[in-house]
Amino acid sequence: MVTWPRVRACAVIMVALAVAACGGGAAPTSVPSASANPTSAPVASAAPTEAVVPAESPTPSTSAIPRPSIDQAELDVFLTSSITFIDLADADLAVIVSYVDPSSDESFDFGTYTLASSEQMTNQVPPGTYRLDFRQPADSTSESSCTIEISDADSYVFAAVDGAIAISRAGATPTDARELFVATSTLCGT
Amino acid sequence: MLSMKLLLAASVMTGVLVAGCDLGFGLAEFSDKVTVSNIGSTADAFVSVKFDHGQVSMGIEAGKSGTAIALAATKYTVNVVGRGDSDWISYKDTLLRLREQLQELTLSSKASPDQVANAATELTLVLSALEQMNGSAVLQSCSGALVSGVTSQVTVNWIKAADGTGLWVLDCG
Repeated sequence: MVTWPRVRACAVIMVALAVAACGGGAAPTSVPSASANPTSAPVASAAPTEAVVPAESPTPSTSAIPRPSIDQAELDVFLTSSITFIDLADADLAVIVSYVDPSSDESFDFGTYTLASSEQMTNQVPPGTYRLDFRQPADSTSESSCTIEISDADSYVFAAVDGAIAISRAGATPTDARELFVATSTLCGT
Repeated sequence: MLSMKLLLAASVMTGVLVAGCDLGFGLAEFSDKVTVSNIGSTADAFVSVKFDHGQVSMGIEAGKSGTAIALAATKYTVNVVGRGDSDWISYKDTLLRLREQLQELTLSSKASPDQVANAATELTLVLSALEQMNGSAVLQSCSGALVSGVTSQVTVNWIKAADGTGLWVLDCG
């Protein structure tokens, strides 16, 4: 079902891509260097990485769709926060990342990232509201969720141990164990 | 006239919605991969792939490979350290210590405020521990440029010297 937030978001992206690709009068490059790519958001690069990224991770297209070429410095202005995932458990961890539209509370899947034991992934992201669904092991059907409001310069760390997901925000010093875990922390809004 | 920065901000802020659009654009059009292959047969490697706006760290057993994905990146740097190196051991110890602390807290309903605070601190220290390891003098690295639509291939290979020491040889193509 097509909703207004989705249409609006797509329209913004289309306009942004078109403008970015033509920015400064430069012709679109086939080597997208720093794409302005909207998608770079969350996890991304988070990096989405790797080994981290497997599951449903985006597959680079072999068809050369010209991407907007934008100076990395431009992106740096907006990618001011970060999210880190660490898998300290024995099993693989899957994290489904969604963006939550503040005007409608509707969420949009961004991607699924899979980390093997001992793997770590950090991504710079723009401030915003994100919903994170954690699955342990990665192929599990049950999950724990956390919706976080990321402000400018925020740095969140999520660490998976067997049976629980710990959450920490740089600068915050919890004294109650309930604040340390996704299932009970007030950092997870809903 | 709308400024470039304003448009860029809008695109980045809503960029995560791309996956939900049926406009022909998606993550696939904006992501690039780096596959790191440990082509040796004896030594396991711990690899960090750094991009413009992110980083992925993973262990790669001898003969295996791992893949990192980047979005909105133009270049990458691969750092490798052996699992027997002191820097890796130190980093691993940090992870194990954190794991123990967190697991203890999941089992205990009477954790002291200090225990909780210490665990929270350790969580954030993991990042600096990784940075410290990546800044190690014994670490070896190579860099490359991402090419649209092409998975960058990187190889790491442990070459053992006659005296028992060795060296990681990297090839970023």
